[in-house]
Amino acid sequence: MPEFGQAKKGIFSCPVLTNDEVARGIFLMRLHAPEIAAQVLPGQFVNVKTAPEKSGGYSPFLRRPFSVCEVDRRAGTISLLWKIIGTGTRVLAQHRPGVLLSLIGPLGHGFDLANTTGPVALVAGGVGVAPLPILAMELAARRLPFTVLLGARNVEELWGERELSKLGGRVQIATDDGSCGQKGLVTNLLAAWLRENKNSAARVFACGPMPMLSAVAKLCLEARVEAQLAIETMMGCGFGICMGCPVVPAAGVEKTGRYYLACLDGPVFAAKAIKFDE
Amino acid sequence: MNRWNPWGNYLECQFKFMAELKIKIRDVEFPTPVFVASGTFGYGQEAADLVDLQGLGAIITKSIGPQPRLGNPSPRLFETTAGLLNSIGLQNVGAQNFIAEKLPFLRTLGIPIIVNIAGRRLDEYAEVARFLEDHEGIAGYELNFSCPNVKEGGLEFSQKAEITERATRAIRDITKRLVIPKLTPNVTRVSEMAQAAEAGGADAVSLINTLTGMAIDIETWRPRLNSVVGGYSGPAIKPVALAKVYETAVAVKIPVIGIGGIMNWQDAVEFFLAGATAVQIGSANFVEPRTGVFVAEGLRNYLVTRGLKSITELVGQIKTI
Repeated sequence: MPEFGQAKKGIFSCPVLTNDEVARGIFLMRLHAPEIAAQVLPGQFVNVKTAPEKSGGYSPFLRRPFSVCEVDRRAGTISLLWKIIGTGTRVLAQHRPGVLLSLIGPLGHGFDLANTTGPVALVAGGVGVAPLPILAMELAARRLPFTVLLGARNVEELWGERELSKLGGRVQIATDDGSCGQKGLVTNLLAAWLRENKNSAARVFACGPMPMLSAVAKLCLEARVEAQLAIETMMGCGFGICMGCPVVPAAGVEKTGRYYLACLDGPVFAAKAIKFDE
Repeated sequence: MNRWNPWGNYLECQFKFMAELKIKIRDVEFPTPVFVASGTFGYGQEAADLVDLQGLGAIITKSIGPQPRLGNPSPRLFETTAGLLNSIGLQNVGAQNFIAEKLPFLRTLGIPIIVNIAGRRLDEYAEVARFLEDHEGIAGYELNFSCPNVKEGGLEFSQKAEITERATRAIRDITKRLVIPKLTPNVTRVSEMAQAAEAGGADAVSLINTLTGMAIDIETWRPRLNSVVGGYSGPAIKPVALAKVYETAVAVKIPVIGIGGIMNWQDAVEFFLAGATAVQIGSANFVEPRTGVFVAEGLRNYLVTRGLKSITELVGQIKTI
């Protein structure tokens, strides 16, 4: 396991190995990316050019950032999970095995597991499950038991139950329509977990849309449990040169004198470090 | 090795060696005529893991003001067809932090470093220039007379000819380093602003800065950028930039540095033919930060295949008759 701060990012041309629709509108793409696989930490991301190498064409213009979902360090592969939401993801969904994609990575600050002794909850909203398998692998390697709380719109758009239980997680599910697990929001599951695990060593790691993360942050702050949130946001370059992904610090920019950048200071932030829209 | 010409590779190497990319602006020598544009390359160090920085002709820093500046709230970026809208709002570390934290690294690179200066009033440009004068390792100043994304972002300086001239002269009086006003395309005739800059003692002008642009979310009816209107860049604007560079290059004697939507060496060749002495890579850096290095390599090969010895032989050679 590489240590924090050692990762040296690079630009790599990576062949697609598999690219499958694993749930409705949700794709899992595995790529051969040995340099990234050797270094990537849970919660870090790669910035992917959606058009194949040397294909030309400028739409979509920007790369698309994706959390690394799974890593096989021995085989030198990583996988990315995404949901089709726009042009970029639609283009990516069409790539067949053998296509070469340009990846920049590993990028950003991932989850910080220092001082994590358990109990641990991993919380995902929708495709926010993406960074959890690599995190679960690391927790399993450290022999830390963990609970996984998965939220999805419905059973068709749910992914990760099998993968995360295989890694040793105790998986609970909430769906909006009750088609799988408890009916309702994943934050209800979290509230119950926090009631059972109210102690200072408890840790919550979450990823999902901003409103969900805001609710997770609120619940954890009330329960005095430390939480780390991997945020989903629009990015330009992914490594700090465009300054296009500002995140407001909890104390407010007037006080701190600067915005965080999601790509450099994140994408994982301590829940108490950032401010959510009211 | 070529089957028909066993000396092919050897000769090609020799020719490559002979194709000269070096250019001079006044007395400053640039290893290649391909620079990275202000605001698209941070302060250089962010890209150090990804790019051979010494393969660039120059680095133009993110705009520096007299004080650190927060920049604008989110959303700052919106992707358009073959381009990008931005409203960063001149987020920068301020002149003092730039000297302490950013310049020492840039100095080690051995390529010309040009500091882009942005101010709200004329005295702020002068204040920053005067402050930077005391520090080694800066080849020149690019004057951001044209940021569309902050109130009084200097835009007015390049929208009125007499103000452009006065502002340029104010900095000229302070420094012997290169003075390069960066001009906005959002005027009736950019060449008039370039002539005013020339009259004010500029060593070169760079253009174009971003076009004003906007986009609206039809679900929420809200603008896509926090500032409503922002700066439009990327390959979509290249034809506009090329026309402005052409218009300017025939109107002034000082070198013109062409900027706007350059993605590859072919794009760059067009700018040289239109009259640019050098070019800057902007938004392309966000997608492929090595673009500046690739463009220089491509230009070198192009010169060899065309039998040209120097990039200067290309400048302004468009055949209009």
